[in-house]
Amino acid sequence: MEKNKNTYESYNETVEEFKNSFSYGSRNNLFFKYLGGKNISENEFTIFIEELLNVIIDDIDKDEFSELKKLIFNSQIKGYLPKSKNDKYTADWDRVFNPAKYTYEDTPWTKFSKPLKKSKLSLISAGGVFCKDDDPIQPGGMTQEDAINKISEFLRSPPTLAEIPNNISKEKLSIRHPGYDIRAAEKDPNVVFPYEILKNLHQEGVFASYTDNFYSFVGASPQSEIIKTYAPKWAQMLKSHNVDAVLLVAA
Amino acid sequence: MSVGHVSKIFESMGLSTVCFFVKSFMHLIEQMKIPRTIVTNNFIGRTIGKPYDLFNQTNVVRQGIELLSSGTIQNSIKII
Repeated sequence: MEKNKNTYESYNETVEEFKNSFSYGSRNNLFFKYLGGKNISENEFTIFIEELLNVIIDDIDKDEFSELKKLIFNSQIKGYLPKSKNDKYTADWDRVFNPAKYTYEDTPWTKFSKPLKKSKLSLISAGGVFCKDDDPIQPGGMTQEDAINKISEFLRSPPTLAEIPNNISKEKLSIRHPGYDIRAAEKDPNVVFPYEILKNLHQEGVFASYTDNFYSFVGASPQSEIIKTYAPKWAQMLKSHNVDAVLLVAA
Repeated sequence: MSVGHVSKIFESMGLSTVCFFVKSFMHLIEQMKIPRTIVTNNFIGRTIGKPYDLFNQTNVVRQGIELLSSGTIQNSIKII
């Protein structure tokens, strides 16, 4: 992370430096990190800031913030669009998630033929959720700040699956993930790990049963390791628990 | 992308899946040809919905579970 330049001392920061500081820089903000990416040009960034300020004024007058949300939502979609084939992949993140490398022609498919009312389900979230007293990555628990500082390490290390007992209380859950803004998940883990929602639907009788544990890992992991080693291992483990289907939540 | 790869491996090993993504990752779902996916109009890091929004969170998960049996290989992406 670069040196914090956000002081009152005189500093001639360029627009580009300001823009880039939101993506793992001095103003790191994982919600808006896409603004610091290559998909948003310097010119688009300044237009966005100008629009943002105007929309805020309009929405304040309406006391209603749907236009603000729409503006940010659309900018987020643009910010995450894949790069063109001519763009070079240099950063760790881009190398691991290079879309050109992971474009497929086939869709593997297992028909779900069992009635839901006789089926056992499980849940895996890529949101980096774990039990407070049992962080499988760092004994004692890793903070979000630690996770962000270790982004390159995550992108090189194999994924670790956290086992989370299905009866865990919210107070015993923790979250750390170097790739996304965890503020909403800290308030309510169901936004990326819908463990309570799944149990409510079971209570309603939508499906028959669920596993003793639910699971989570940090999605910012080497894709080749997931494909070759870890996903097959996790599939075997779930099949040994007679699971019929798995809900997989991206963060 | 990680969830897409887990899904494809699980399906190839005989385990049905349903994935949940936000719209910002729509291009990934298409390029990776991920089976059975619910796409939500939520922000990244809020895939299932806003915090404490029990009604909409339940709707998203319910539709995902229903997609397990109703989805077909040709038509397995549902945008809600």
